[in-house]
Amino acid sequence: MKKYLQNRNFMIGFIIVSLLFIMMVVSLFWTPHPPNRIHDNHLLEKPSAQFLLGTDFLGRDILSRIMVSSQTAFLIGTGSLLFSGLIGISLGLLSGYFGGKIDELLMRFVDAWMTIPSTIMVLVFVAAFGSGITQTIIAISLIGFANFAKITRSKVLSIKESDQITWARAIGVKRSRILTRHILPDLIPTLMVVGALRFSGAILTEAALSYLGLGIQPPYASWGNILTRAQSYILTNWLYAFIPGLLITLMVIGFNLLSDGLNKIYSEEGV
Amino acid sequence: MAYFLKRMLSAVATIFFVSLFLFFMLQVVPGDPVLSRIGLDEMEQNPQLVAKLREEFEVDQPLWVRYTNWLRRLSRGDLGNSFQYANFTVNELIQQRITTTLILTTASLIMVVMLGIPLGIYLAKKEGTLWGDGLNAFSQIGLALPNFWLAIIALWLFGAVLGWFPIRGRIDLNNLALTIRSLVLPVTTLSVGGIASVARYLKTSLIEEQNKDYVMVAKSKGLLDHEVTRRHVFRNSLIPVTTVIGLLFIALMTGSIIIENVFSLSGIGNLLIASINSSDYPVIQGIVLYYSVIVVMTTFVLDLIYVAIDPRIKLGQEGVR
Repeated sequence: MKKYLQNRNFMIGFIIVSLLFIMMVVSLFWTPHPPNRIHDNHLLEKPSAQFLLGTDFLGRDILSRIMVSSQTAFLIGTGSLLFSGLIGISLGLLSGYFGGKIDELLMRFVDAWMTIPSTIMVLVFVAAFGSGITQTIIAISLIGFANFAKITRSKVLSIKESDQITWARAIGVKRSRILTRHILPDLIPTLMVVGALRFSGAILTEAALSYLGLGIQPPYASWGNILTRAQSYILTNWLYAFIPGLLITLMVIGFNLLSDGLNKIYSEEGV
Repeated sequence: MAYFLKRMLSAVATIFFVSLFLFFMLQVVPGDPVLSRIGLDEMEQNPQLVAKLREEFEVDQPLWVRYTNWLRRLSRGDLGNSFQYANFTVNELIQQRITTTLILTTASLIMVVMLGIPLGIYLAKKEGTLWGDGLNAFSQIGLALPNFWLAIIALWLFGAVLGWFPIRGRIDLNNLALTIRSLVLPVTTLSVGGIASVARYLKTSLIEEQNKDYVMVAKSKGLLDHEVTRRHVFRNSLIPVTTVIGLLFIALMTGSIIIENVFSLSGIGNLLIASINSSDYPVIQGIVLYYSVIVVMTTFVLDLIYVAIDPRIKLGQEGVR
């Protein structure tokens, strides 16, 4: 516990992410105005006491929409992490544990996959399957899983040779049990480090995709799609564009620092 | 030579597989290209034109026929016709715009190298000091900033409010002054992430090299500190940095897609997003193919550079390192 408290990167990251998480939880129950309510006689207003960050072109409260967008960010981050993690870790376990032909085939595939630039992959995916929350999660996962697969595999290869596993095998523990009970727990630190980094990557990709109009579609709010509109009205209300971008940046820095900190803590522990 | 040929072959194979994969992915959900070319009214009034276009776009052909036709035309350098722009072939559309993208990307690459490498050396030198920590935090922010947001804010502040740079920029080689003024903001915003990652990467790699035995040996021989850095450490740290710069070129190439959209520059990135929005599949396929070729060629050239700067990589043998 002390190690976590003493690591500056980890603590700053943890505080930033916690604050954003609290904002997300609050927005589930309370926002200054309902995020989708249209105030007909308050179109494109500047910040005021009634609307702290002003209103958008439909007369919706900008602050409320920015708040609920944190739900989208956490949803996309968590969803794509679970999805890409599940596929990537399974492939990595299979590849690393069984080795041989399976390993070669899977790794050839993963290497070829990684040569496709992630932006192009995501754009081609939405060009083919359309845009929306599900498509965004899948598209982001398509980039992320290869990373998980490679790291899991290399970790499994080193754990596999450890005495603990050799003994477990010698006394006849089943393969599936060795995988889930012995190898998987040892993988957790590494996966946390990679996971935090992928999370921030997912946030950035979603924001960019939604900004281009190919990610989260209105009326669902996302910091990315808010920015598209905000750009047109930046001369009347610059906070409209400033705040969502600031929150994206904070979210990304938060998770990057968490990943950095965890990496340092675990490598000092010698995991 | 054998090494060269082997690499070349694998590069061509990769382009082929990537094109195959992307082609089929884009064909899964076909929209109606005829509709996007002539619109609903014309479609109802003019069935003959519809039939003619249907044939031209091979809408009724099975997938593998379309793929082999596409490949056959591709081997002649023909990427087909756009669904949306009736008067242009895909090749013409891309060639009109690729210069803009290449100028933007190359200028950014130069900026990243010119600023990222000195910054990395400086960071390694100042590691552990307060000033170094401050710069480090700054580079952390550089990595996290969404470049399109930075671009929006920069365009507002320096374009609209201060009026230093044009809001609607244009890359036109006949008007150099305008081109340079139009490039400042896009190039800077596109470079920020790259500068931060090159600097951080070089810093880590320099610090790692500094702790190696041969540096101790060189120092104990009586070489001065900066001489050791210049002659030994820097050269060895440059190898991983070359990889990063290669990857960076690819990242800048794809990063320019969004930057072109923020600044409304008519490069291929801008065209790509417009084509996705109008389901103009031949154009999407064409652009994606261009990107794949550029990516594969970059990796190929990188491999050759490796051999040139690191004699430890033996020709024709992989995995020696």
